[in-house]
Amino acid sequence: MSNLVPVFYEHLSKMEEKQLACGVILAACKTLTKESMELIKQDLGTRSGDGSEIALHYAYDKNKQLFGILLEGQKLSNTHFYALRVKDYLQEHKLLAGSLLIASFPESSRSSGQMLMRMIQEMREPGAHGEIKIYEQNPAQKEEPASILLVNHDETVNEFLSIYFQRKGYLVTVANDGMDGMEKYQAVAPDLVITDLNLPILNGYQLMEKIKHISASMSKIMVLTDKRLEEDVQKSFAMGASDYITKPFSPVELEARVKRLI
Amino acid sequence: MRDFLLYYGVFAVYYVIAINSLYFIIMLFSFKSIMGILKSSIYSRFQTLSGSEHVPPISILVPAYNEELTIIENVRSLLSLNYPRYEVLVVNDGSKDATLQVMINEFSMVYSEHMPVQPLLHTSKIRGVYHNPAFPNLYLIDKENGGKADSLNAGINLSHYPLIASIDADSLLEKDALIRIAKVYMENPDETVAIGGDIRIANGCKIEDGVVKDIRLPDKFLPMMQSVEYLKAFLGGRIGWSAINGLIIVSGAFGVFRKDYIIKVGGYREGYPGEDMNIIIKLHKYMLENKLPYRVAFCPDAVCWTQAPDTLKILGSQRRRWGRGNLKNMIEYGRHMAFRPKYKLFGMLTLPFNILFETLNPYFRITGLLALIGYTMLDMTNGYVLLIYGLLNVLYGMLLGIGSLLLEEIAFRRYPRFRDIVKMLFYTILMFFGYRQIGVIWRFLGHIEYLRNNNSWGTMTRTSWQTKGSENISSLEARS
Repeated sequence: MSNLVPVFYEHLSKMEEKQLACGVILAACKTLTKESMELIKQDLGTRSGDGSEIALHYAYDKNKQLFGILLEGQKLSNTHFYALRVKDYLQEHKLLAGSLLIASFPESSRSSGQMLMRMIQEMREPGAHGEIKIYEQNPAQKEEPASILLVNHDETVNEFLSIYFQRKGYLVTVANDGMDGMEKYQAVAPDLVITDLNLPILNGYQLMEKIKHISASMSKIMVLTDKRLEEDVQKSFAMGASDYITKPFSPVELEARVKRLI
Repeated sequence: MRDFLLYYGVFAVYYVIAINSLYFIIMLFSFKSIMGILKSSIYSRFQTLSGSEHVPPISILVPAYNEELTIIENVRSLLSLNYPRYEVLVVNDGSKDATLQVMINEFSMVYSEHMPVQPLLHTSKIRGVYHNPAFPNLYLIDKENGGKADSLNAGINLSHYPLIASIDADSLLEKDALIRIAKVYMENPDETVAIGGDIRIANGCKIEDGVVKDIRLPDKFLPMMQSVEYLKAFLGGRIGWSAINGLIIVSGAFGVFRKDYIIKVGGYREGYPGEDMNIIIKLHKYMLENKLPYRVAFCPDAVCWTQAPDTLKILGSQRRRWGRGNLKNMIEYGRHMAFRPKYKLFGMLTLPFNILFETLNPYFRITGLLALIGYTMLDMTNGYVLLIYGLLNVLYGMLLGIGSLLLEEIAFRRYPRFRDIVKMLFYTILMFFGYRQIGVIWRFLGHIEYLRNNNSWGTMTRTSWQTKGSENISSLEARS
């Protein structure tokens, strides 16, 4: 039995050239002998369940104890469907050793090679027994979501904004007072800090001062406050704030300003 | 003899009817104005106001004597109020503990040589003013011991803003208390000379970082009693008095004043307790003598949480101090102003009411009770008079107490749980079996103290400050 990676890699590159879809199922298996591989091939067949013409390729990697199936021309939904059958079969024959991971080119990734490598990497840390995981593009590969630290004494505002920004795809951390804000800042090193000026223990100015002290250029600071006095605006900008928004605020405007900053 | 006792007893019965009826009328005024107050605060946008340019700046004065345990938390809480422009002036009144040092350490304050202290009011010697540019709105004044009034005067001398707020160092303001009180001021800035806030008992509440997080009724007996007592005094009494501009006291724990008028009346009185009532009497006197339109307002939704004494000893000393202060004020000012048409409603109603029903209350009640007991001893067949006296006291008092609870439930509902309402009701009734009576006795003892110590107020002050210090220790225990 040939090694899984080169075989699949070859197939996948061919499919990529032809611009065809291709599903991949990887399963953590107990050691398979050649005979049992043949048996699987026979039992599962070379056609997918609905009877349409699909070429299926099987492979097994002894070292990694990975069992793989390649489904030519199959999208993720069909691959998922087929994976359920594979899982049942493997469980029935007590061959399954961990989780399954499925993906489909080009839905899951634009580069089939990269997809395969990542899948195999991910299988090194198998999930729960019998779980079918769907391959997701590694977050590291995507643009990393910007992180925001919200420092506000008003819990309602914090809750509202954290839900709002999370839905917009930001990583949000929340702090209720200046001291808490300082600690969270050191823990998460966010891209942007949105702070009120009026905070218990450490006020907004002191928080800005300390942030500047720790990392002069790392984070942008935005002030979101009730205070509309000129001197507060002036002082905030002087202390390095990038923007100053007064309550009551429009979340749409706030997000637009946040986007501009990070 | 028998007849005399009976007549006196009957007189005492009428006295009780009169006092309670007057309280009842005052409470009706409270009911009348509460809806207006409620609507005005519902339709006000305090959050927007709290950042507005148009809100007048306020200087908060915090007299501190031996407050090393609680001062940091209180100052922190004061520094995070929702208010656009204000300053906090902590006045260390020659504390014997490390109040000064903990302030200096915590806020990295440095001695500043060129702090302009205007000599508007006479005070004890100022040792120095401390400031830290990182906390631009915090000042620390260190002065030699001179009492609470003296500290307030020193704070006024340094303050930079036209309004001053006086706050006890063992009390906590709600974040929007100042903006709510400022709104009342802004409704009529020309005529408003003083505004009182609502004082509530913080025992039992959960306090974190100087903010009341969870509002609960006290668990202990004495603080619980004071809790309903304060509700009654502030909601049932002061709202009504303020409605007819006859308020005689703005609590020292939290009040806002026009600085210019405080200075015109010569500042706070030095040397002994009762300075909070004294300043209001002087303001009334000044405004009326100069025929200026004015009002002394009360803002029931501006809440200040204070730690109530939870032992009989400390509560007794507090009440004796109140009795002393009240008597002193009545002898010095009340006597000369009562029943003079010149002083209008204040002279014709507030002061006579205060003298007859507050200051002299213990004498009439105690002697009335003794007379009736004596009479009943002599003539058991007419014992029902004693019964009437007792029932009248209790039932009328309960009516007033329940009326105040009703005000609370209509307007504020700070204690929303049903069992809290039941608990308050229970204590309102319980108040008339022992607690009220001992209060009357404390006031009487206060008067005796006043007469005995007439010439030695200085030492007297020190003892009262000391009890205040121990109050704070107990309040810290309650918090931790």
